[in-house]
Amino acid sequence: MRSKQLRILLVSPRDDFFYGAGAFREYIEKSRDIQTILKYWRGMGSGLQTVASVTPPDHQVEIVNENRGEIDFDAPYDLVGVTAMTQQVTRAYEIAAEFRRRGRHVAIGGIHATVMPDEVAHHADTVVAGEAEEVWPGFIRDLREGTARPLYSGEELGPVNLAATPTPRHDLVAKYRVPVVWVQTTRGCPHDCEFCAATRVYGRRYRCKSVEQVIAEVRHVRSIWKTATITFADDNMFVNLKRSRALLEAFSRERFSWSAICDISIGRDDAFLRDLRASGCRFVFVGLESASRDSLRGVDPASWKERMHGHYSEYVRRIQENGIGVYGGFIVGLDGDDSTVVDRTVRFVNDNCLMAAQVTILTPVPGSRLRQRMQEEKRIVTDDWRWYTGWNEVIRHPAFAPGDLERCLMEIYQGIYNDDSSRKRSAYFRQVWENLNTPRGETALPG
Amino acid sequence: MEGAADGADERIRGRVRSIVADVARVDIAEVVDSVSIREELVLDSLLAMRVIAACEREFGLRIDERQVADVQTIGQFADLVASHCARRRDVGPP
Repeated sequence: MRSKQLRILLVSPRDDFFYGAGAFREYIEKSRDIQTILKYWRGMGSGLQTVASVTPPDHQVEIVNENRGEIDFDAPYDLVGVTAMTQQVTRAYEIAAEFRRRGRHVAIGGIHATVMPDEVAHHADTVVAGEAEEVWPGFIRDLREGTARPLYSGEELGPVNLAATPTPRHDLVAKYRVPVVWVQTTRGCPHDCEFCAATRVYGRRYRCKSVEQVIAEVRHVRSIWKTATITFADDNMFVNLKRSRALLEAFSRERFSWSAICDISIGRDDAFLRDLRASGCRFVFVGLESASRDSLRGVDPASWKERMHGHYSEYVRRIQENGIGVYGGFIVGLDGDDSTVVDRTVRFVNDNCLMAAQVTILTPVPGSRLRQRMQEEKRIVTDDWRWYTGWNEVIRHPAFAPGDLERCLMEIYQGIYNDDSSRKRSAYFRQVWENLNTPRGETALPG
Repeated sequence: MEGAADGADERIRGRVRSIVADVARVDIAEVVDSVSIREELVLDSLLAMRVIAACEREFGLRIDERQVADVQTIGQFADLVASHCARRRDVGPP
């Protein structure tokens, strides 16, 4: 293969986040509120565009997102790179098998390959574990020289210096029409929640792209999709407040709207919230995890979320009164949960008029501390990754009979997304905007 | 009179497009009648209310958000606002 230009295909496999959850899928597809919110989760990710950006420029790279386009299994690719989260990995293995049968070299990377490299090795010629930016160019060089190894691990070279990474190649997915594009500006999160694999995947150190890098990527995205909104994929975007303020200042000079994932602590800083709105932030996704303080016990090593619980309502109100929606993330099946979880969650979401809520069942994803504990307690029901959707029950819980967690989930969604709560939310948001549009000293009258 | 009404209607539709462009933070040239409010601009409940509140303030109207629930495109929303304005012109100020 020496000196040859490689033809490379990068694939994001089809996902099925409603696998086995037929009734739930039907309910979601009928709910207009949820459909709009789901657009954010179905946005265009940037992982493969990032890999493409560090591929030496003398090679030809194509990207196929299987949710949006077809894979040509018979095309003469020299290398097929497949990324996968845990829920997608079964489909990734099918794709890998098809290409390997045709004699193609298949590399599998992404989160699942990072935390389960031994399993993935059975399905790929090469496993790319960890962050790709540093190891991918070396792998391409080795492949061209016929010396590709079965494993390339980002850990060998240490954490990637994000401030030195190029702009992801969003131009390679410009063929897809997308309303939401995901952009990553930081890696890492200080909370190390038991159910989350982010710390294992990205390490404890919080690393950031520069403001200039982020703005260059925003402009690149907006030059391709003129009406797209950007969702920042960072696990916790505003950990570094000084850098966050500089970002907001730069965003306010650009004309685009965006949303982000962060923790609830932003609710204590009114000046920051005003800057957030001025910079075009639509909403923040906040992992509140539970409406019950008891259920938050042990979620993170420092009990940070348990201590913040008493401020949840106040901070949600302050964020939303600044015209920024709070999209709350909740988990059903935490150790402290019992059958009251339905009422508590519905009441919290509706009483606080959260813009939206995502409720999932506690899932012991590979790479999380939770998985290790649940394995020791023999509470994991299946390792069939197709069921690791967050909507399916893959654990045993002492306070719930089998199937009850899924029933609770459905009841919570029905309690949150219905005509009454939708009307209440709309009336609340109408008041928020009337107040924000009313000059100081005057008071908007209730509608 | 019909010509004057048509002119007013066009002005209203232009202002509606401008309000949507401001809220969605997109170039007004992209906010054409066929653009889908939910599929393309992804205006969720909070931003939909922001658009409604801004239109109410601009035109001195009260719009029932339930009417907006069935609206799909910018053109349909502009029609809705224009029809409210026309009704108010016909009836006169309260």
